[in-house]
Formats: sequence, structure tokens, C-alpha cells
Amino acid sequence: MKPVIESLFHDAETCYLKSDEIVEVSQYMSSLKERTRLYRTIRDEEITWMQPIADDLEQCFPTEQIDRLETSLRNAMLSMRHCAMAMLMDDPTYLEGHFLTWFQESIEIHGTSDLDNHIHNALRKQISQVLNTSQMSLLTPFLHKIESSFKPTDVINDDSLLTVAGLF
Amino acid sequence: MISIADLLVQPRLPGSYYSSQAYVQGDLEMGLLENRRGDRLLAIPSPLIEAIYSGLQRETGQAAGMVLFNCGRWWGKNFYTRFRDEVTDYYEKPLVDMSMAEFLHCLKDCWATYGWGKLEFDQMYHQRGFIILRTTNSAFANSAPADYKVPVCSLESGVLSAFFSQLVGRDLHTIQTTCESLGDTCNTFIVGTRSRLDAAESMIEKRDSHESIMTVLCA
Repeated sequence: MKPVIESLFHDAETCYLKSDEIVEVSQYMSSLKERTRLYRTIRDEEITWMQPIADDLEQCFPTEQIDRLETSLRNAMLSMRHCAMAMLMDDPTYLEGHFLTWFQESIEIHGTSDLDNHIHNALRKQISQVLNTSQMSLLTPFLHKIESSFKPTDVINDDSLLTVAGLF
Repeated sequence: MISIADLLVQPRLPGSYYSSQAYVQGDLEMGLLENRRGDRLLAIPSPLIEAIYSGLQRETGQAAGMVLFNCGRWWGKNFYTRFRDEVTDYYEKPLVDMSMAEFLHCLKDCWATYGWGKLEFDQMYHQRGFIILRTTNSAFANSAPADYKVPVCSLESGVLSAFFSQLVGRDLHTIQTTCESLGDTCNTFIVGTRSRLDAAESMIEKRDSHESIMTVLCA
């Protein structure tokens, strides 16, 4: 849940909510119906949205290993699931705590920045054709955070450290 | 052709298993702190760690470090087993088949979520048969008595020694060359075979630098 609102619930012993705090709770509650509807759409359309992107990905990166493509597609779906949850709870800190650090390191480890960026752009294009302006505005702040993870990085490609079994 | 439906056959899309917000869970009514598999967690307060140091110092004198190291070896064996089971179950991949980068990614997250501080891996001496690990914000270094004149993270040394021994299937030892309790910026651990690390023991007591110790070990 939105951290500001969550903190208010723990403060009942101190005082009643101030007017601006009640407004904030009220705004969140009134947006919940829209957020729930959007969350349900994202959940139900996951495969429908991602399959054409997967097909396109194979054509755009014909020489790329399949398991690398699959890793990036899985991570794209994972990022969308986390964005949807963050949007539902209206929690701007959710992605940092649950996903972003891991995602950024994962991109660095696998050197998939180009693939991830390509999938994300295609997904953005896909959903902007389906979702209305209001829904996009609910989701966009979280998509921006995901986009900030796509920085070109060097692939960690030291064969001597390929697997744990190669240690010593 | 890649089928998205096939990618979603498994019950989950694996992400950050050791994310602190997802990993540490509690049931306040039952008075339980648990990990995400339902295994019980135990939080240790700083005064207990301080008491362990001072009690061991009083009871065993100079052997305190060795006692802590052996406790750490025991702890490390169980830690490895739990880490292996959790990671293997979650990522559906045996630990030995993971890339080193993926494995270290998990270990670093695990170390931080357990409240043991930040762990970094230095592969510079890997080809020479040594693993270098650096930690910061160690609860053990911060809680040690101020009058220790040598690195004090013996428990962590024991944990790392048992952990990497189990991991690679060889008996490995760990020594500590720098320590936050002595004013160093981090705690540095060298993991390797005991016979090759023996030469460093006296250098650590003389407080020789990590670099000079590595020079001797690699000579």
C-alpha cells in the first residue's frame, strides 16, 4: 500500500487525520476501482501481449541464443507483474524494494540490455494501443523506473568463472 | 518458435528470492519470524554478540577466536545446506550449474538480507587458488571488544570456510586480513586450502597489510 497512507494507519493513537491526509486517503480509495480494473487487464492479457513480441524478437535477433531470448522475455513479464502490483498499491517505493536492484544486476550479468530494451519498447507500444490515457498515466511512472535499468553494459564473459563447478 | 504459454508453465517467474521485503516474514500473533519458505528465523541482538565475545574472552582467553571459528564452521555447514536448498528450489537449477555471477548475486543478497552486511567478491586471485571476499557493516566486527588487536570476525571466517568447502567439495580454510574493528574500511577474507594459508597466520598477528600477505601467498 502507498507508504504515506500505511504510515497514517499506525498513527491513530497520536491524533485524527488532518484534512489533507484524509484527501490523500480519499484519492487513493477513489482510484482503487480503476487500478483494480487495470491490474485485471494486465493479468488477463499477459500472454496475448507477449506472444507477438516473442515472435518479433526472434526475427529481430535471429542469431541470438534461444535461452537468452527466453530469459529476457521472462524478465519482461516479471517486470510487468511488479509494475502492476506497484500500480495497484500506488507504491512508488515497491519496485526498488522488490525488483529493481535484482533486475539491474541480472541485466548486467547476462548482458541483455539490448534485448530487454527492445522487448520493453515493444511492450510499451503494445499496451499504449490497448490502454486508455488514464490507465497509461497510472502505469507510466513504474514503466519509467524499469526503463532506467537499461544501460548498455559489458557482458561478464570470463570463462574461468563460468559456473560454480569451475571454482578451484 | 518461443511459446509464452510454455514459459509460464512453472508456478513462478523467478526473480529476487532474497529480496528483504519478500524474504523476511512474520506472524506476530504466533510470535514467529520466518523466511518465505516458512523456516523459522532467529534475530540476534547486539548485546548478545557482545556478551559472546566477552564471555569467550573470559573463559577461553586467546582461544576465543578459534572457538568462534569452529562455531562458524558448524553454522556455515547448515547455512550452505539451507542456501543450496532454497536457491535450487526457487531457480530450479542445481547450484553447481549456476554461473558464478548468478551464484554471487544470490549470495550477496542473502548475506545482506540476513543482516550480515554487504558482501563483495574479488576474483583477482581466483586463478592463483584464492577467493577474496570483502564485507562491510559486519555486526560481529561492530560488536567486538575494542581491545582485540587482531581481526575479530572469526565466526564469519568459519561460516565462509564451511560454505565454500561444501560448495566446491574440498576442505578449505579462511583467514581474515583486514577488519572494521581495527579501523579498516572493510573486512577482507581469503579462502583457500589450509596448507597455502598457513604462511599468512603470523603475518596477520603482525598486522601486515592485505597486499603484502597476498604477495607472500602467491609467491
